[in-house]
Amino acid sequence: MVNYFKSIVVGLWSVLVGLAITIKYFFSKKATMEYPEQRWTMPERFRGMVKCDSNKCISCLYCVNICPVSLITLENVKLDVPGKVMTLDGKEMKRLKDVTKFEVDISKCIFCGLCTEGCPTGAIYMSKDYELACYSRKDMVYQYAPDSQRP
Amino acid sequence: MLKEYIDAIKSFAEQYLPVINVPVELWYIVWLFIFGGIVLGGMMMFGGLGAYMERRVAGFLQSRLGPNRVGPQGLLQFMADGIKLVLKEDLIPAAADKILFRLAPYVLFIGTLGVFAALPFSKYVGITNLNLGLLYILAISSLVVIGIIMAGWSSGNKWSLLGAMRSVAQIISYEIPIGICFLTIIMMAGTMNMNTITDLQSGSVINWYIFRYPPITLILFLIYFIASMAEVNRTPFDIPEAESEIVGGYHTEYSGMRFAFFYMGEYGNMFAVCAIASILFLGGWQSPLPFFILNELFGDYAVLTAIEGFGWFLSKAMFLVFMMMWLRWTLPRYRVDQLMSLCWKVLLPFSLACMLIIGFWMLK
Repeated sequence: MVNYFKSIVVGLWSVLVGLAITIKYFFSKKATMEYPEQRWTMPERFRGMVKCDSNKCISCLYCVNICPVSLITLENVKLDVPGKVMTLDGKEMKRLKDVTKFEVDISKCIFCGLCTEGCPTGAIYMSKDYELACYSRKDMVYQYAPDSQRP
Repeated sequence: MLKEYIDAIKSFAEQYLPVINVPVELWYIVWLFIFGGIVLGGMMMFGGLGAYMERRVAGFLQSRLGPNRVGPQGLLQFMADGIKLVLKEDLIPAAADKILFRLAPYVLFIGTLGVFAALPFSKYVGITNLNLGLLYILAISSLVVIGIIMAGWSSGNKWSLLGAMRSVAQIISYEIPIGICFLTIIMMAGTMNMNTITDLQSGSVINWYIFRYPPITLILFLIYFIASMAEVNRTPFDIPEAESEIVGGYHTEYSGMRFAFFYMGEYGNMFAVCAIASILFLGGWQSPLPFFILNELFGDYAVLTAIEGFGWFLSKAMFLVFMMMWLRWTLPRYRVDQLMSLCWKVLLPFSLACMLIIGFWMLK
């Protein structure tokens, strides 16, 4: 008999404790981020979509060769007057070739970041862009050479 | 009762509408249709808004936001849901008993809607003024059980049938503590008329029935609240529609507008039991203060009393609805045997004891 009343009191009390816990969350700050308006700031070394600044590219074909899935296609022409670019460690470098086609098929990309590690001029880099969805496979092939240089 | 109503409308028509020369009985019918339409619309509105409120409250309790995209603060979400349900394919399973399958949602809905006929929404506002209001409510709300078992049986699906049978067992058991709570209130008030019961609680908070015989009526209110939660199949008593065990129970096979009717019936029912609880224990449309605020401010007009009374009624009922949602997202579901033992071993003896104690207290 004592146990019967005790269990009722304990049960009611535990319900009250539960209610207190849930109402605390009712008034607390919400964990939701309203995505299109608010976004997370990505960490510094986040590997998003591969992007390229073709004016810096010296056509060394490092990225083309090292890419495990061979998603980069690169075509170039020889420049009449060689240009100059700065390498990442601060030296000047001759730019003998101009890029006419720099194609990245992002649908194959495994985001390993190998292409960016060896690039002497830092032309190819991984951006923080992670919204890569699109409607067709052709849209996933990105062109990074400027339009004027394309044949 | 009907005669009194007709007389009241007759005098109203003679006073204010002398130009239109139609029989007064016609006025009564027209008036019934208008008010019935308002209540039906209001209930469907609550079906939608209740679902929205439920999702929103659930979100807030779980540190989320809930729907907030359609309309201001997501208020039009129920319209979008309704349009989706109307446009959906009207599916009837091959194994279903077609007539019963079609009939079930409406039976359930009518059972819910019938309760609203006897509720006093405010002073002077209500569809009927039944002498046997409480008895009528207890009787008409049993139609919901028939609707549920019709749906479960006619679906031709074992999970639906299981859900329906669980539901019937649960509702019939829990109707007993509810009946005893009603009996106690009838003892205290000396009437089954909902309007009179509300009138008897006028004055201020102290006169509400929940504080009439201090701890006993509070326990009675708790018993009624718990049992009514089981009546309308809310978590922690939602074993008839337990998603994880019997995939939705009796409304598994329903889609489109029929499913919407089940949904509206569920939320309408929830509002109905909360409204009954607020009328029986919390004074219905009576103000918690010794006076009505609007009357104090702008003078003694009946319209103002009615408006403020409706506000009080709605806020009390909605607070109880919120309590139900709050409990739903706090507690896990009972097992079937736990549910039955709670009803027969705890609620029933306690409500009987409360009735006995109040009876002796009244004799003293």
